[in-house]
Amino acid sequence: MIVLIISLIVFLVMGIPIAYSLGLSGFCYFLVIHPDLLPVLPQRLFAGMNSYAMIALPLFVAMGLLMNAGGITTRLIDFSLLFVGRMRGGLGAVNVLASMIFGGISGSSVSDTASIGAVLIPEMKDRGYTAEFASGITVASSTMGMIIPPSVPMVIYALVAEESVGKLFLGSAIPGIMIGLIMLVITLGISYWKKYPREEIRLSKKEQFVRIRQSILAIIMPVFVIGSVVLGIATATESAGIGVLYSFIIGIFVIRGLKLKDIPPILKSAIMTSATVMIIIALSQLYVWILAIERVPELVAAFVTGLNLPAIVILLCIDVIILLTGTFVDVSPAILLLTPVFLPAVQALGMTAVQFGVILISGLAVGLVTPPVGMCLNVASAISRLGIGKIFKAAVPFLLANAITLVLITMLPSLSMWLPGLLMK
Amino acid sequence: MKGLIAAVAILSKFLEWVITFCFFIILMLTIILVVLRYGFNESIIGGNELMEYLFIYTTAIGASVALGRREHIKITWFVDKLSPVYRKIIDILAFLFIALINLVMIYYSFPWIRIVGGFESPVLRLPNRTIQIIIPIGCGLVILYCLYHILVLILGAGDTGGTEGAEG
Repeated sequence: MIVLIISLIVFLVMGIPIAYSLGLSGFCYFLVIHPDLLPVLPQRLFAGMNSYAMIALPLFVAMGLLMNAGGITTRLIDFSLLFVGRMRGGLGAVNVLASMIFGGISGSSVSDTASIGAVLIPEMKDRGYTAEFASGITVASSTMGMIIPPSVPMVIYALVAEESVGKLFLGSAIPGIMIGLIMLVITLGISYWKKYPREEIRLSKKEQFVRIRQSILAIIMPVFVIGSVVLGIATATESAGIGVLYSFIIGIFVIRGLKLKDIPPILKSAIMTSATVMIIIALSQLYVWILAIERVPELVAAFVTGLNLPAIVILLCIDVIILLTGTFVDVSPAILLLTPVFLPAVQALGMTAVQFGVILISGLAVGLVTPPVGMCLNVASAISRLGIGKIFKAAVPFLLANAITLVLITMLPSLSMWLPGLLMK
Repeated sequence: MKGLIAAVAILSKFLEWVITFCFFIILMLTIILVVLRYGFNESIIGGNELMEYLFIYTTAIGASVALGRREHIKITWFVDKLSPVYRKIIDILAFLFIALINLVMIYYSFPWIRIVGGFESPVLRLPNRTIQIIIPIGCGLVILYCLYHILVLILGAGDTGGTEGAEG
């Protein structure tokens, strides 16, 4: 096991892609400990790639990209402006609300930062907000992108934990909305303190109606996608496929921002994103296999239950480990590294795989906005021309919403289990 | 050197279009299968199986193209702090290691395919080797890209077409 851990750290520090670091450390382990098992390596790699459920991954990515290319971002911002723009610090509230809705459509925090940030950061600066505030709120609110369903990381977790995608989508809905609402309160509080402006709605009644109609058609898409999975009408893969068709129709015929020539680059981008994640999943099979050979999940579970500490203390410690891991490792590999180790342990403490999944994704989402590897920080930095340290500092007050929600969903299982229990048996 | 860079760019573009086409087929099959099931109570025999196989192809080829474009997810905060000379050395070592693991995969994949490649898939009755062969092909492409990057780094031909990648 020491061979695996040390070699993995060395390869990661060398800047070798995470997928190949996992493969190489697995190879080192088998070479030293079990050379007789080396011939099984390609078989494991193939098994890791062979997953019908994971076809949902590029489809969900394509769905978000199509909606974005169709010009949904500006519609959602206008839509949010109609509802929260008149409040003090209206554009800040718009940023949070638009991210909540966009999260349901794109399933990706990074694309949330890029799309909403590109429009709102310059606009907020023009309206007298500091660049730090505008960038901080943009990155913090984008963390909802991968929590509010449908979410790409949830699909990855579902595969690793062998849990229902529908239950995970439902389980993450309340925590995602909670983060948004708490963030909205924080935004309004800071805006009153800093005396940020209210916004006037300059759209005519007819224009407002058109904006609402166009946005509603996009907003109902997550309901439609999640609903088809929850009601058993379609598998996650099929619902994602239908979501792509729906995004295409909305983009071409309703919003009319999508052009046919946009489609091939979008499909290319989606499948390339999928390939980079899928190769990590495939090569992580070696790591998961070694954990099973070494009985690591059982040992961790036995260690955790043998600590004789209250379950909540152990679970909060696991929250901290998730947050720290998210700071240094990207979301998909972190899911693949942490789930096999901690899931059996938390299950021994009475937690369900759905609740752990929601905690894991919520915790890792914070890692997207923490240095040194926070991807959303890099995107926001490119837009605002601020250093990532300054943006992170500005995001901290808003990240309080994530912290509060993380503690609550750890302590109160019903926040993540009530909806799945109500709608899925 | 310019010729090599151009050839690799053409190869990458070709492979990208191959996997984009595969993905388009997967997408179409997904939609058609749902429509057929609910609209006509029909199905395409082997449709799901074909989707799975195409997806394996897209992963194996896509991963190699991603390496060609240096778009894989990695942790770079340590190597970013190194001087250009040390960074170049570490980069070359990294590509050698990546080539090594892929060479290992190729080495062990042929005996595996020889043993089980003759079995047929459950619905389409395709010999398994038609799908499994993508493992050595994909790994071979990765090695090719590694050698290309090493060559460019050693000869100092500048940018190898990479965008330090991360996740969306």
